[in-house]
Amino acid sequence: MTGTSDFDGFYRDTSRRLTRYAYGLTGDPGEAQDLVQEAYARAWQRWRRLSGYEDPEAWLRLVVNRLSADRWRRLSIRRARAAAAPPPAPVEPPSEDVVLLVRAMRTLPATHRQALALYYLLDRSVAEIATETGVATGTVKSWLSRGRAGLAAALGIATTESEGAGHVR
Amino acid sequence: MSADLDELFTALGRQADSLPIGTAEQARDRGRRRTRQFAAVSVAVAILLAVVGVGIALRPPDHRAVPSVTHPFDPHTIPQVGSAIGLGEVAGAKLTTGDGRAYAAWIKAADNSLWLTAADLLTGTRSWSPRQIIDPHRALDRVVVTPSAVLVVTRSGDGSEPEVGLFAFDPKTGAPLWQSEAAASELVFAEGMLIRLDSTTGLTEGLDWATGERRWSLPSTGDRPVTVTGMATPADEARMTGQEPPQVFGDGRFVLVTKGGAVQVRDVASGSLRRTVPHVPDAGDAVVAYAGWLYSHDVAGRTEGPQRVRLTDLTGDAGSRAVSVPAGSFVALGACGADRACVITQAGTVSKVTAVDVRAHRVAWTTVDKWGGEGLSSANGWILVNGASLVLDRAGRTVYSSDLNTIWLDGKTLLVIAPDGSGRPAKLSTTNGKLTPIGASVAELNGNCTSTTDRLVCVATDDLRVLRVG
Repeated sequence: MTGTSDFDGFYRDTSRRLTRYAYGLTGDPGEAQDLVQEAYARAWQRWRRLSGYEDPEAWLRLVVNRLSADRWRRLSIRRARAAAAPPPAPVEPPSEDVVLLVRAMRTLPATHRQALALYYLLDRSVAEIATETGVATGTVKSWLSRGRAGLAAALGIATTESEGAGHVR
Repeated sequence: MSADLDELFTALGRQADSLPIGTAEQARDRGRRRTRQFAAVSVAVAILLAVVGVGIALRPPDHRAVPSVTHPFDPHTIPQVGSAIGLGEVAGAKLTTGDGRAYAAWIKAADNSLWLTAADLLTGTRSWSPRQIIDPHRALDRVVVTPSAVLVVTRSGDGSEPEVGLFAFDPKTGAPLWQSEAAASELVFAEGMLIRLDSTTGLTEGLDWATGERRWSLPSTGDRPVTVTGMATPADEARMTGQEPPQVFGDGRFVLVTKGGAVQVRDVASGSLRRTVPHVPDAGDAVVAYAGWLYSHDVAGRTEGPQRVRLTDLTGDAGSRAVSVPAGSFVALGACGADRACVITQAGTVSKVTAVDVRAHRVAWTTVDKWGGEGLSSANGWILVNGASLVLDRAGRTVYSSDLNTIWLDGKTLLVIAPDGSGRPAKLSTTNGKLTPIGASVAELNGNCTSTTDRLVCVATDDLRVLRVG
């Protein structure tokens, strides 16, 4: 697949998942929308090469990871977007739960946020996360465990751990 | 509130699913705009390097895999000098080398704080303790070193002013020297002076590296400057590292291009005018000054169709002429050796590298770049087209090609990955074409490396490492 129609199909099949991931990492609707568009813009620039990758969607997530890391220091590309495109459509305000979770996520290290977003929002297994991030499964479990603990601390509630997903009581 | 993490994330997912997202067409348009902008940006902005990981390096060249997926750092690869210098989890970093030291500015992921430290290249030990830079509202842009100062540049990315932060330190001790803020600016890092062009007012000024004091200023008159660049020379090739020409210009001249189309050649030390040369109005800022010539994109902003590169003699009487290059998107422009300007254009999915003979005003050669390069640099007669890796000789013949990243170790040596399919990285000499393996493999180094002839310095996930490669 190398052409415009292939790219459009790829976008159609993957953009919603990438938006989930970006939103999980940033907690900001505008940031997430912008990150997703920027990631696909970069993908289109190198689509001929990227389309031959075994998992181009993983490449997109990598781009979002790096961009979002910059975003935490306000390295925004919103200015370019504002100059070049109409503003995005208004978004429904998030629920109280989402607001609290987003605030809690922002207190976590990037690796913990990434692991939690992959696990909870994209339904990736520990093994799949380990493969994508290039670390041992034990490390992923540690990220998830510490991430859950961090969320619990930020949310001001207690946690219990289970083999798969930890739960907050 | 709901207290189950599954439920909380389900709610977060639902919220994400309700977000309006752009169309594929909008993404493609944005990609085209980025390609266009890159021509200008590539002149001034360093590109992060990605030395790819173990799993990928074990594959033969040209294997198409997901690049740059993070792998744990493997210490049993290229010999390490000294011990890893702890930085804390790194969210982003910029590095440079000079005067026997590596300088790393980095952002701590834990609290987004910005820091600077230095490491001795001979011993791999820390030269001075980390210095915190208090600038929470701007992003790390680059770190530059001259004999008088190591400078950390920050920029706001959201349009807030002052856009630029400058933080200078003593390279030997790390002692703070000066700091300042500035409006949206273009910066030229000349050895003799830090030159700043205020993009809004056109005010150009020269700042003393050691003190930050203004040594000269050029208030904008009617035809205000819109672009500033340093004058690169072949001597700069000796300081080549990474995938771009050196940041610091050793020549004593710099160039201002005005909105009305005049090119001013000025003196770095005094700002005084040496010569004015007619150019073209609104030439854009995709300009490169090299060895007394100015190379520029002749039709600023044109993203499709016919393309031309303008060649302007800044010292002699050859005038200014445009040369047609292959049509398509104008991706990048650069100097590629004596009397050669190189350009990357892309039409559809076909990317081409074209070399223009500057003195003969004609295309010397054109070759297809199957990797779709994004920028180029040149040293010792060889040309590195980055994006993936295409290494060409002066005649346009392919010396090396891979979808894995290649970097300059210095002006005569490239670091290539797995040239023989064994997974071992090697040094590739541009002098004799000889390949010299340097280690078992190269681990993922978080995308940030710089180098000298015998040292590769990289920021890994949470530390700085000096590796021996010579």
